[in-house]
Amino acid sequence: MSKNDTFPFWTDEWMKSQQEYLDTWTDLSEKMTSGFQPAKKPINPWVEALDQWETFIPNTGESQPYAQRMLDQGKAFFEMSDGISKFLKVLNEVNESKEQWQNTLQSQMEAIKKAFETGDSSLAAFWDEPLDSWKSSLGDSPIELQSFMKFVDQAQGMDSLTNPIYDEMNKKLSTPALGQNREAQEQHQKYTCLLMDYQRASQEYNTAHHRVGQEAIERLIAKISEMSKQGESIDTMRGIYDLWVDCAEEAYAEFAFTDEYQTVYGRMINSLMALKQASRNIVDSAMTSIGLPSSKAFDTVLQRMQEMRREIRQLQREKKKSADLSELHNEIAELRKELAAVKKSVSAINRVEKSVSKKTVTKKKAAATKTTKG
Amino acid sequence: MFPFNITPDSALKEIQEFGNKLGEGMQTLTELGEIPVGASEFEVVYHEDKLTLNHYKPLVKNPNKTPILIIYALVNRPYMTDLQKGRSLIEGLLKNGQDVYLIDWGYPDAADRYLSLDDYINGYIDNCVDNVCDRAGVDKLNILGVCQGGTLSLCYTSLHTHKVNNLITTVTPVDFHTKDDQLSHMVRNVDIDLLVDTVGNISGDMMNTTFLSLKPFRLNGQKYLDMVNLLGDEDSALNFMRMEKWIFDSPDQAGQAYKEFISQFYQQNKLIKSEVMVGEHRIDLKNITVPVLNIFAKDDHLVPVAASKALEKYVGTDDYTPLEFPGGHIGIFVSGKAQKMIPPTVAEWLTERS
Repeated sequence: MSKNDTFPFWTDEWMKSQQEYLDTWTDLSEKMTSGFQPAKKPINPWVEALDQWETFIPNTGESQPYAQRMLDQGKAFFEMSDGISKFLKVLNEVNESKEQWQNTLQSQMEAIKKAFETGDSSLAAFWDEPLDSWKSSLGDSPIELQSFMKFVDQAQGMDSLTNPIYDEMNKKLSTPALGQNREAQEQHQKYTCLLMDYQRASQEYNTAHHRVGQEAIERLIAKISEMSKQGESIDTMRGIYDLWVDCAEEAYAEFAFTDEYQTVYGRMINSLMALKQASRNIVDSAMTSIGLPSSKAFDTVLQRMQEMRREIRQLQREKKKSADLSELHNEIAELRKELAAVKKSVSAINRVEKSVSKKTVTKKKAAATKTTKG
Repeated sequence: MFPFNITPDSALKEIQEFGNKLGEGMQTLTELGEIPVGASEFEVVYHEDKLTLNHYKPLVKNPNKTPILIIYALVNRPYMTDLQKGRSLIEGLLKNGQDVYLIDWGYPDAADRYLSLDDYINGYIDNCVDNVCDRAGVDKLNILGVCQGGTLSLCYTSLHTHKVNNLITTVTPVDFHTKDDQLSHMVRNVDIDLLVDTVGNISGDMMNTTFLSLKPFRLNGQKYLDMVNLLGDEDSALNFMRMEKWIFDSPDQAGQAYKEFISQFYQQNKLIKSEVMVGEHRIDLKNITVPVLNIFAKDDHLVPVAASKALEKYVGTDDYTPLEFPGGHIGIFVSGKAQKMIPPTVAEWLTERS
């Protein structure tokens, strides 16, 4: 592309096109539900158009979650395309000499890297999305946790891992509990300490995760430069997206095999579980105090039930073994009986044979005597 | 050279085309309805708690007299082995003259929280083996273990060699500490006792996100952009959706068994040290003296090739056959290549040893 070409990314034409797109979607929406009007003027009309479409996804049916995922990624792609268009506009405005566009690329990327610290960019949002959904699957969303995180966000410097306020709070929370409600007080003190532990561990993981995001951007810059050297080019927005995904996966995979990852990941999970367990203990105490079975009690029942099932299984096996053995005994007894009968028959036959043979001998002797006398 | 060859026109065209495809895809998705899975006819011949033992209707007149029992992983659902006509390991085995049984573990719930590996191996699996042998009138059967089910099959065969004629393991982890085992690396510092004591059973959602986190940007993002291109017609949409359904159809994991598996296998790598304890029994792979066919996938990102290949070094048999499949962890069951390669090879290998 010549430097003299107009490059109207993120200009009226771009916006106009988005608006046309929104209008098409709105027309379609109106056909499906008469009287539909967009609630407000959209910031990114393409994304807004998908928001409208979202309302028509059926709430039931097997495809619903996948349709939602596809729409979410569609929105993410549109948002990223907007970002890319701005980025291309800036690049295009500079002279095409190698140094100039590379310097501009570098400075644009530095800005995105900074945005990782605040989460204020579509690339940063893309980077954080898997982590967010992963945390949500672990149940990292109790109300108290959200409000604590909000408090941390608002409290100046609390997001710093080295902030002395943590030590100060820990000291205060270590004050021995006194009086009638001592146990409850201890439980709550412990819970607050664990909440702080989790916040720190989570922050530690986020920091490492964002650093890897920045490394992914470094890789992206390096790959683009390499492509330039090789005379290769990227021809589509999707091509840029795919290149970014490659860089993100490479950087993440490298991180995932480090000792640091193992440590921060383990610490984050363990501190969250400790916190959830403490939370459950508080609820259990409340349940017990009003005479309702606690989760611990339910757990004990389940454990005992399984132990009994194992014992029953063992007894059934022994019974089967003993039934097999008794069957074997019966068979042996039957065989013995048969053997005895056979023996009896054999000895009877022997007796008969002996008696027959004796009679024959006597007859022979008698016949011999007769002959001699004759 | 300036590396971006994107003009405003081409960018707008691309975005609009993407938007149109997305719209068409949404239309296809909302019209799909229920996503059918399963290709082969079967009857349930035994059930115990949530487990069912399925016997598949033979497709040849005189199938192998020694039946083959498929032991699937506790993770995900076993219909991966019989996803649809033409993409089914079971269908392939039936066509190649095998008499096929499969254990479907069902969906454990809170009542199954304390099911241990001993309950699975010496309880459920052993009962199924006895049942299959009784029905077939044989003393021994063939076992085909899938992934974690392969590891359970190794444990079972080590303890009950007299009931197993031949053993086939597919994408089965044996050495859990190979350098490229990301899952193992991930869980090494997690306090599994605390985790299970806290949450009880491990939810299917947690399992899913753990697997997705191995390639988070491809599996959470890029895949769904690719999906837009796959929804043009109903058949390709259904193929994609069947896989999606399977991936996210994740049963919860019984807490006790999960704890024992992660701790003994993934964290302490005890299987190759002959130190795994299942109930009161020690697992020694040297006890496995029956013929073993070990199938692994070259591009497996869940169970690396080295993790499976290690079996050769530790198993006791003199009749060991390795087989590398040129594909991934799932492709080994559902790809077109797999249909041509895996069932005939398994059948031939079994025939040579029957």
